[in-house]
Amino acid sequence: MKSIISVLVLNMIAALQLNAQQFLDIEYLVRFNDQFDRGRSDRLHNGFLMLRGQKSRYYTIPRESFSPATENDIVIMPDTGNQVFIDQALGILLAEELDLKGRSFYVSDSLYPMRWKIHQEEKWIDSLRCFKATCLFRGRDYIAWYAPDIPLPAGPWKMGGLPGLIVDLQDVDGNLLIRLVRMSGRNGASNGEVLLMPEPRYSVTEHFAERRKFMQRLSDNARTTATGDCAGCQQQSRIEFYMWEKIW
Amino acid sequence: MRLILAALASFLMLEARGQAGVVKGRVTDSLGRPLQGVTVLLNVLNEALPRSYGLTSINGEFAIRWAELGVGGILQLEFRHIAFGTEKVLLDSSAFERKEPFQIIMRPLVTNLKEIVIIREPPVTIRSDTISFQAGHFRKEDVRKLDDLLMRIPGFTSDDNGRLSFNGRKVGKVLIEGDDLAGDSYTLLTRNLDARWVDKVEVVDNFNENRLRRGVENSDKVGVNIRIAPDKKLKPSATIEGGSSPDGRYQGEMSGLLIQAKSNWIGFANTNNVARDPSGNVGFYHKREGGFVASENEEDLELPSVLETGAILFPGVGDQYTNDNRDQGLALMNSWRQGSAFKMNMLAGASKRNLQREVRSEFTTRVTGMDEWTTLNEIKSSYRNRDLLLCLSAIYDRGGAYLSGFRFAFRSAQHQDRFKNLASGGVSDSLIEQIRNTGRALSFGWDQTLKSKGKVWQLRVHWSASSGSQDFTSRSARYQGYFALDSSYNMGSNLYRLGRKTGRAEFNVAGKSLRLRYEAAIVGQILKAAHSSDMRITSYWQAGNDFKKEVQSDPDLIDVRALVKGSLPIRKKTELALQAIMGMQNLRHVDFRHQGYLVYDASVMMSHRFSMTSRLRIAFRQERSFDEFGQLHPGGMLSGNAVILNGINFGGPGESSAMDISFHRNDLQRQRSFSLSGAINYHHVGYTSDTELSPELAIQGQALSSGNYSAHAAVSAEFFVAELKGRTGSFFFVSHSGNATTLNMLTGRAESGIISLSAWWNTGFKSPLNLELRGYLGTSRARWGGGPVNNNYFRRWTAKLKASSERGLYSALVWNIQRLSPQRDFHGLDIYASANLGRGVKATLTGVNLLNQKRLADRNIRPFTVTVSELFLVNRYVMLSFLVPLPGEKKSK
Repeated sequence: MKSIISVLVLNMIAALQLNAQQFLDIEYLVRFNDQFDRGRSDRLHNGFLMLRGQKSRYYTIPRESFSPATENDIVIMPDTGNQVFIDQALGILLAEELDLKGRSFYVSDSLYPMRWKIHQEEKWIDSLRCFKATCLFRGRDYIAWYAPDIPLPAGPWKMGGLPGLIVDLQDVDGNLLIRLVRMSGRNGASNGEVLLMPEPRYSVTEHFAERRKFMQRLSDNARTTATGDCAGCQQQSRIEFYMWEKIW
Repeated sequence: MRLILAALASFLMLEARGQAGVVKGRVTDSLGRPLQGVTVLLNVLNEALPRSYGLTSINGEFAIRWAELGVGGILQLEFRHIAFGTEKVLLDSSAFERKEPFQIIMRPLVTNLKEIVIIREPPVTIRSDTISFQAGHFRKEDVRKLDDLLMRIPGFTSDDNGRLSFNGRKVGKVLIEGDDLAGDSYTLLTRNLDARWVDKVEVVDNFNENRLRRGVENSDKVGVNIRIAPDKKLKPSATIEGGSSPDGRYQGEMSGLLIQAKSNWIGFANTNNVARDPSGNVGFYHKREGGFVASENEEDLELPSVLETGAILFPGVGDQYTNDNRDQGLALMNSWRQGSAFKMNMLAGASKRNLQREVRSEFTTRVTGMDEWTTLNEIKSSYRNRDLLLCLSAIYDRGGAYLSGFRFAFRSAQHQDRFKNLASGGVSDSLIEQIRNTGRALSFGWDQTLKSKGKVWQLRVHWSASSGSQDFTSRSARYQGYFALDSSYNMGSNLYRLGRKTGRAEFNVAGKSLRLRYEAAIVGQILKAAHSSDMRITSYWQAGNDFKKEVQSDPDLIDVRALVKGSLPIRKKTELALQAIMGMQNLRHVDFRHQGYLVYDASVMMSHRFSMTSRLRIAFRQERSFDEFGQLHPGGMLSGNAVILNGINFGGPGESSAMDISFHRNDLQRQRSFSLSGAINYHHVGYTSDTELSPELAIQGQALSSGNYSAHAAVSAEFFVAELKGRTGSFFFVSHSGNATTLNMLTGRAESGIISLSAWWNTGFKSPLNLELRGYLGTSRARWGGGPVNNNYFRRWTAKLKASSERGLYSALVWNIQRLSPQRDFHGLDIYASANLGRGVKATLTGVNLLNQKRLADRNIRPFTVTVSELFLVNRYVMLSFLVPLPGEKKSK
């Protein structure tokens, strides 16, 4: 393992002092398969997790642009994606979604709703002793490696709630891989920085219900009565809808 | 202290067995303020893994549920927060019954948290048609060269000549930072480039070296692009390695690299006498690329095949059973850009190779119904070659719709074989032979590509000339021929010269209409050859038997063909490809007789791509052609070691049918791979070139074979077993072939078959000790003309014990056991130990064949003879060597 990880431990002497109002900046490397459940086209992103006391914000910025598989691919992709705001004090999680016009809105979700199973397997990632945990969350199986020595129940995206920071996260199909790259912080002073929580449009239950309705409308529209000689014929276009969080 | 605590707890505290319930409490700071987000762990004492856990709420409250554990031990609650000191509370038996919640006060702690940066990327990334592998993930302590690195990446395989395949498809080119530095001779790079310089290995699917043809042609090849580590770019990097042993063995090696914005340089130099792969041995590698043998690339630098047929014993790549060996090689590769459009590539190399070999052979010669005898041979041979290679190419590419390329190549080779045979028995008592081969080849290529309105037009012109000569002398004492033509003393000589010229022009158009990809081409080529042979054989036993013969011929072949090719996606991931080539070939024979032949080559191929790394391919091919022109020689002409160069007298083009099916699946995420392949080939009429006869009979000798068929199937699977932390795999191979051979009016049918199974297991424990096991079982069966059946059983076991430490020490002990029936064993013991001395300097101790045993090499059957050979391994040696990088590596912080 050591050979695959090049480690630079910086600022060893000038160590960071943390108090109850921790201000941590955590950077992850994210590999995501844009063609999940259909094929394979990986892209690398940088994932940032900002911990500001009881609040946190996670977002990703792609390292490389999206290349459409065909000319029919319509891309709605903001520069900053997968935003998740968490307020531990209020126990809420707000996740960013996009509508078909590319407008962003927020959906409120439960804080760490996944049920983790802790395993005995352990491994060292750099100088961090990590343990394995697995869960099934909205149709996908995830494997996480968390570091108990960093007792923060945080992690990338919606993931968290483990007795240590999530250092490594992947789904079992290899579509998503998130790895800790850098962790740095500042002393307690916030420098006036305020993490503003956005206003949610729906709860996640309502959001999924809206999505299902939308899919039904799309499917109905795709079924049309043919014109011309064949008065009674119907034609049905096949619609495939892929979502990372499987809601049906 | 822990022991005392545990002892006290054993009286007072709770045993985990058979308990369940909820523990509740509240966590505050020293001022009584509730603490939120504190991790509360329920542990069994001295166990790292928590049995249950939870987080405190906004009020600082927690409730830890504890189900039946069924494991003995003492329970404790542990409270952790990044800004407070850890608190622990041992639980007594009343903990789950008490109504009062626990009150925990945590003391603030100034946490010294290291700021860390972990630079690591995912080992595999798939993007569009490119799979990118992080070299660091696959580079282990025993990885030395690029070749070793590639073999550790799932999906890569290599044949004996170092030619690579990925997921069953051939690797067309190996590029450095997108630069084609080595051309088809890419084994120069893979076998010499230091693996530590590599940052990423990118595999490009559907690779086409012509940028403009990428969209319109579906090539069945992949390309490999090597990304050099960023810290090795823009400045010269080199490694020097040298070592010696007390008994005079030595090896020295130097590699250099300079990657710049406008020019790239790579150079290798090597000298050794330990039969190590000679780096920079351009002739050796180029020969393996197809320079001598039939090649897919028409522009390969061909040398006359006489050089090949003249060799007595061919040294194989990776064979280390030479007794003594001296190699020197030098290779230099460069690409240079001028402006934004012009690029020039240069590949130059020189090599010198001396190989000495000792073979002990046991020949059993049986002629059906006629005679049988056994001969013990002791053969000493030396092989020496000098090679020189220079390839220059220039490309004009402004990035638009026009591409122009020019290629020039020159190669010169000198080979000399000396052969001394001391034998007892039927063939000869003493034989000394010497063959000197010289060859030169020169080629020019000109390539123009234009893309217009979606169509790609291409004009390719190629001209090459090659010449070779062979001087053969032999002297035998008490020679006895196969058919009782005895002589007490024989002398023979043969001076053979061959010249060949090839001119070729191709006009090609390819495009894409809707979903159909199509291509049409007209190819014309003229091949001219000139042979002359001056042969003399003198027998002193039979007085007056002084035989002389001069043979001359200059056959030529005019070849015009039309090609039509198309491929159509029939479903989303399925493609059907058809190819038809039809043409006329006009051959002028040795007797000036012209004859025209209709030739064709038709194939149909269906491929289904399940994913980037999973593919099914089914293909059928029917061919009728006269492509063996390079093998044509006047009847009765001899080459070298009395091998008949035959084939001119056949009645028409060869016909063959082939069908193959392959399926490859490589799950890079789960680290599993599976492949299945099978092929059937049928050659209606063919000509053997493997017929060895005495010189006196060679004049009449012709070997014609018919009904040739061969079939093989192979299945392999490899997967990672997480529980064992190891990689395991197996490979099963079965083949069968047969043909009917007519030789000197004797007809017999040869049949042979092979079945083999190999399996391997590599452990990957975090422990310093790891094991690599590999086993091979095989059996072969061969028979000719109803004669003796040759059954062989092979068993091979390799056990490698590896030990490594975090301080850069690595050692491996390798035990090889081979058994070839009947009851002949070989036990080999090799050791390897290396230590990093800092700043990239590495010391290595290598011990080879410490038991100093011979190796059994081969047992084969040919018409008339059964041969068992013993080859000697490299004699035992122990060498100490040092590797020094230039500039030295900086100490990591």
